[in-house]
Amino acid sequence: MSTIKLLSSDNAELAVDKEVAERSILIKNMLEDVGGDMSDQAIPIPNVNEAVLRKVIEWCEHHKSDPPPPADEDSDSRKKSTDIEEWDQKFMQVDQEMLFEIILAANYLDIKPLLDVGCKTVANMIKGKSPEEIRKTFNIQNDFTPEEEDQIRRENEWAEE
Amino acid sequence: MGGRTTLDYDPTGKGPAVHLPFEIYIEIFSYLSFPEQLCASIACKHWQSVILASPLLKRRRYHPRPEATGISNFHRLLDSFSNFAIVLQNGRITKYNYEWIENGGDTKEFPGRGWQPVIGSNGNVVGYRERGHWWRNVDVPADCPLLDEMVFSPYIDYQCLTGKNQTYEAPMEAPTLQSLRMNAMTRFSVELTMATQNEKMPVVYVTGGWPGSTFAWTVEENRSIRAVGEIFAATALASLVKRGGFKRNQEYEIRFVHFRELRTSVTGGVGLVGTPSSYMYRTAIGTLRGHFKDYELMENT
Repeated sequence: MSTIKLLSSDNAELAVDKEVAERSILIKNMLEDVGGDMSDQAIPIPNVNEAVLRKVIEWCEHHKSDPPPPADEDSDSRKKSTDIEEWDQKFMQVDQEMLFEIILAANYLDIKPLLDVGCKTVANMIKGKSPEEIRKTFNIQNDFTPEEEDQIRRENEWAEE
Repeated sequence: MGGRTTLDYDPTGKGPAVHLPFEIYIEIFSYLSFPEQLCASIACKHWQSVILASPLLKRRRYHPRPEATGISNFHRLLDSFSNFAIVLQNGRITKYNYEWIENGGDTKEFPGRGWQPVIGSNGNVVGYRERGHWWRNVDVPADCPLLDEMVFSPYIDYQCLTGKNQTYEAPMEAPTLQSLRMNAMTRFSVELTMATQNEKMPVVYVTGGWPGSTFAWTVEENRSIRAVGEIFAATALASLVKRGGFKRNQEYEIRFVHFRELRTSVTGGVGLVGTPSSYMYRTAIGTLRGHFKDYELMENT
């Protein structure tokens, strides 16, 4: 099995099975473009640091023989399930910054199933919480000030007359 | 305040340093139900702007399946498993309270008031339960834009409302329906304020369900409760009059939508909303205040 090398944003070189790396559509397309032979040259992944890249590779290793995800049909009208398989749940038990970094990396590297797992994880952190609890969970400031709310209301009234 | 475009803003600098792009937030929020979207939209401005701007998320705020509700694309705010209360303080609307039921089976921790706690296998409280359902509620600011969305999506099959066509085939626009927005509730509160200002009622709660369900309003701690389905009609009409959709002092037939009974009860008409027969009646804009007077009288007895 052939191995390729990935170069993280902080210049760490990671060796990965080609099959594993090709879970990333970005890398897969890149390899196809250059004719498949990247054995002596590391592929730069400028948006992803070593720690995150290692996590992403770990996920790709575990999921290397997954069947391709089914094509999205009518995804906006059906209620989407936030069920996550057990291994993925454990995998996503990381601090919030890492979680968000994984999501960004999955987005950049075009690994749709990993992106889905990440988004589901965040959605599950929102579900069942009040707005105040959501703010606490994500360390968000309530930026709706009473004066502003009043202002918005008055503007709306004016617009409606 | 301007220029801040990420939700992860935190004045202490301790918040997540990672900013997600708009489309990823849409992806995340697409897993949320309407009540969850509502909560998220109250959390901060950036989240709210994402939730309002995305057509995908907006479509999710309407019922997608005609067979489930009798009509297509009815706003989930008026879901049959939810209650919507107006909280007036000193004659001024201060906030709304939205209550909803989630089906049992979820193991998330829900804060509740006096419901039976559910203990998980690990000994922790995993939620609260009443009659097999999760009851949740949230206070919603009076000007929350999600409350001001149209009752019907612009893509509604208007024909199915009048009972002339039950096939739900060709969605068409219904201009009169477009004028009916969630903020009919707000309009109502304005009228109600006029009626109650002299009555020394510092706090008035109006609770209700979906149009056509039994609306009840409670004045000062349950002292009087009465079905006020007609208030919703008066409200809706008041709103339409303000927008120039209807004429004052002219009779209109009002119809309420009742999801479960719609098919058997709708016979056609002005088409404000459909109704089961028990709520069908005629009213005139000129008697709007009269309705509220009734309630004042009731309060005095």
